[in-house]
Amino acid sequence: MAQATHHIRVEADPVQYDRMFDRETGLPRWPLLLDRTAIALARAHRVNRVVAVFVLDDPRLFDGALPDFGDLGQRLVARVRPDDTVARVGRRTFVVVCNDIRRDQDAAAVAQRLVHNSGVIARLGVALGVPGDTPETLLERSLDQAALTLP
Amino acid sequence: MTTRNPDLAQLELQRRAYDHLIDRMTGLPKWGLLIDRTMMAIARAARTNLHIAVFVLDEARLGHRSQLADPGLLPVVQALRPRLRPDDTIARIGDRRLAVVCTDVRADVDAAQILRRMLVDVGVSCRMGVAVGTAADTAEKLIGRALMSAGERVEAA
Repeated sequence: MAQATHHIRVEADPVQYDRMFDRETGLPRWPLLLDRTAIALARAHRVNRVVAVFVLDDPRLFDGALPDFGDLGQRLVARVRPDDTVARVGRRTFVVVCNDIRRDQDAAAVAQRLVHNSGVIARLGVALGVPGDTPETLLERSLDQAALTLP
Repeated sequence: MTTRNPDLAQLELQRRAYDHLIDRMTGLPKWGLLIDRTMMAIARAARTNLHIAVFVLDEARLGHRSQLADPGLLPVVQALRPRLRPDDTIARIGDRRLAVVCTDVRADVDAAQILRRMLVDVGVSCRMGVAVGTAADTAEKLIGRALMSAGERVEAA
């Protein structure tokens, strides 16, 4: 089942839609990402699991060109579970939030699934939720990781 | 080391947009987030084979209606919050109307327990609507069923 994202119809309430979703890809924007991460952290605490956040920053085709972002968004959605979140927080920045991660190997498997055969190369940031995390600290940590590349 | 993608400067603007999704008086999610959280609960149910319970608390207050002082909705919210799990949702969808969404519910038995906790343990008086849904539902249909079932007023003991 693909991740459903269009429950607020742009025709019915364009202002609300733009607050929550990115028009080009139909993916959640930062405010909705923040809310879903908060719920994911609360659930992880209850069920003794971990939240994993992945950032794909500045994705490029192998020839260096920019990809079709709508198409890339849908490909990412297809690689995660229906209750995970793929969001677009900048023109060239996607964030994936995965629930119910049990250990580091699970997160590594998701990371591999996201980038393997995705047709793009990107800066990848990964952060696992730790006790005391807020949605902001967790997301910022993952974004900071994606901003760093090896010299 | 490279600098962060300059597109992320947009984040500040998006942060401000979050405030519009939250009710200023109670700090609760409004309709848009309620729909999204219900939809995500349904998506989770597809994976876990568990249910989702939606409760509508219309004209909610603490204590019996005969008690004169009515401090408003905030005490109801504050009393409900510790009785629910941290990933359950309390949303404000009207002047005196709350919606509660509970995930990972084992059908009617769990829903009845949550209902009892709200009415008996917390002492909420309200017109109560309940709907228990599955992965086959949509958020709008599930919340709609809960709204439609809100009938007779239930008074705290």
